Amino acid sequence: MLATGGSCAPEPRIGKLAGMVELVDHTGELEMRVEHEELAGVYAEALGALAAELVDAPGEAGSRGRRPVDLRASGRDTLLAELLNEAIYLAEVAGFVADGLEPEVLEETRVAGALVGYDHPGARPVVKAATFHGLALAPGGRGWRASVVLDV
Amino acid sequence: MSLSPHRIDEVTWELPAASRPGMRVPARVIADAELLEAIRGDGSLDQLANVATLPGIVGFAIAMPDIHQGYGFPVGAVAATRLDDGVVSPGGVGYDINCGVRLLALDVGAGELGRSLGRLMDELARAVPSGTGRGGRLELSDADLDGVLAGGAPFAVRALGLGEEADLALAESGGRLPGADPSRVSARAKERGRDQLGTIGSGNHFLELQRVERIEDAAAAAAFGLREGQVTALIHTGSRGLGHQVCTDYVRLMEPRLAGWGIDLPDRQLACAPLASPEGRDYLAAMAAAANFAWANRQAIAHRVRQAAARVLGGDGASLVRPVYDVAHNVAKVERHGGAELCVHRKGATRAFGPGRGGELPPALAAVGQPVFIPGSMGTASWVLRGADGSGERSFGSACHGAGRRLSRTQARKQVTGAELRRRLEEGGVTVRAASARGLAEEAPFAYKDVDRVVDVVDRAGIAARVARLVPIGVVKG
Repeated sequence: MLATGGSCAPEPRIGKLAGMVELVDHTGELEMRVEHEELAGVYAEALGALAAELVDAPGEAGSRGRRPVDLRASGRDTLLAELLNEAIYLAEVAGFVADGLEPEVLEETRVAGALVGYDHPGARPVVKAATFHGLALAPGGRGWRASVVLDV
Repeated sequence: MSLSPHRIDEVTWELPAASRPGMRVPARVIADAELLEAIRGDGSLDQLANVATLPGIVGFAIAMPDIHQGYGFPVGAVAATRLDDGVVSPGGVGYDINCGVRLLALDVGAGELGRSLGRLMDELARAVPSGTGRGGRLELSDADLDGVLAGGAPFAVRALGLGEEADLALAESGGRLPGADPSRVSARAKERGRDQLGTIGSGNHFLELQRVERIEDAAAAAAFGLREGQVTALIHTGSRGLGHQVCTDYVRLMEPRLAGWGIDLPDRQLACAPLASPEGRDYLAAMAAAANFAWANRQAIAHRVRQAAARVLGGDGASLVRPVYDVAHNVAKVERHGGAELCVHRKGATRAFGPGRGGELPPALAAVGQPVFIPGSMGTASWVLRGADGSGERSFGSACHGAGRRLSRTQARKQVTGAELRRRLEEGGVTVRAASARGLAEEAPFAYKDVDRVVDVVDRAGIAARVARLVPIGVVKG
């Protein structure tokens, strides 16, 4: 499992040493820059960073859990946007904050498996969507490098 | 390449179409020199130049003085496209479809509120859910949700009992865009919206109680039903998760098809579809449905404000709380300009029709122009303007929509905590009810441009004229 976010019983940031996330504030939006040795690690780091934006108080988190996921997209970058949008949707409708990924299938245009995370009664729907503006995911940096702008 | 617009007049700047390959029309910025300098500090002008590359764009890509960098379109932009060979871009509307503002006038003076202000704020905070995306007070059946999507504010009033028939004339487009088709809205979008009617949400959305500090145009203020010292309530919210999902769905649909339409864009978030294509028509039908959801949402909140005010202040809610107007600031609409039907994208821009288009306004407003609301931020002023006929010539009948962000959310949080900001606001006479301390700090007043300067520019540009200045006395934030 790749998990990167906190909860009342935080999981270790397994991907941390092999990856990094930089949040770059635009005037109104938020750009997430992610690097990781592994492609799956990029996805997991991005989910973890998004989770941190969705909760004010991680300490109020409930128990950890999993949500099945099976997404297809036109490429790795759009798949990243799809994953983040799935996490935004789950936070909004189910109060589930995804901060990691358990991939069973990870292909260029498909990811299937489970989003892992925790229930949180105060998840903030402050992030509207992951946009296509400047969206990128390609080999580079520590292995893989991604950029995605969130509409907040 | 750094873009340097040249001055056209005191408050208008232009980037010629030759400024960048692919621009089909020039780009224009409505700003004074100081605001322009701030605008040049982020990516707004590059994004505006990108908008000028859209197929079928006519006239100019236009920036309002509150413009700031967004994604695809900048926030605070207007672009009009031809119906026959032009495109519609979901990114030119934004994720929060029909985010907008409704102003209510209370038949009470701020001085009369006294200790009732705190009770009224408590009632409003209870009655109008904010913050979390889950759990509004209205959970709609499938049929009612489709009714809202097709019927907007009129459905909310007539079928759901959320307000008065007289409210409906006092909203842009009567609170309902024609052409809405609920079947073009995805199941996921409907799921996100199902329990969000009557909720504010978070981010920069709010419900604010204000005092009319001063009147600058007595005739227009009288037409709008405003007087000095009066309490007003400003509702700022939109189509919530439902609208976000509609935008996500159609950007996802259109982006891979661009090449097939022969469209080459400098930014993927400008993803668009020919207006004449099935995809373009479907988006307009779904967008109209989301816009109708937003109008119904503000109608539902206004109804709750009425109920809360009646509980605290006594009397009949309908006579105690009267709508002034409701305007959208994230929408694409087919309108007639310069003798042609065009698709006008307003992303962070408000329709501002002057008296010359009085036939499209309610009779009581036709002679003075459409009310335009420019919210400031907690702790600063908001403005009521009236649309002026210069907007028809300069900006496809549009004005700005707010003060415009100056600092990012992180920069704001670095300068103040939510608790400290709450203390400062309360010391300044603003009662605060906020679901999120972090969210409160991110929306600190100093994170925004000087609203008075922004309003001064649109007034000098002749696109909207000052009517009244409002100052906050209480705010409910997500």
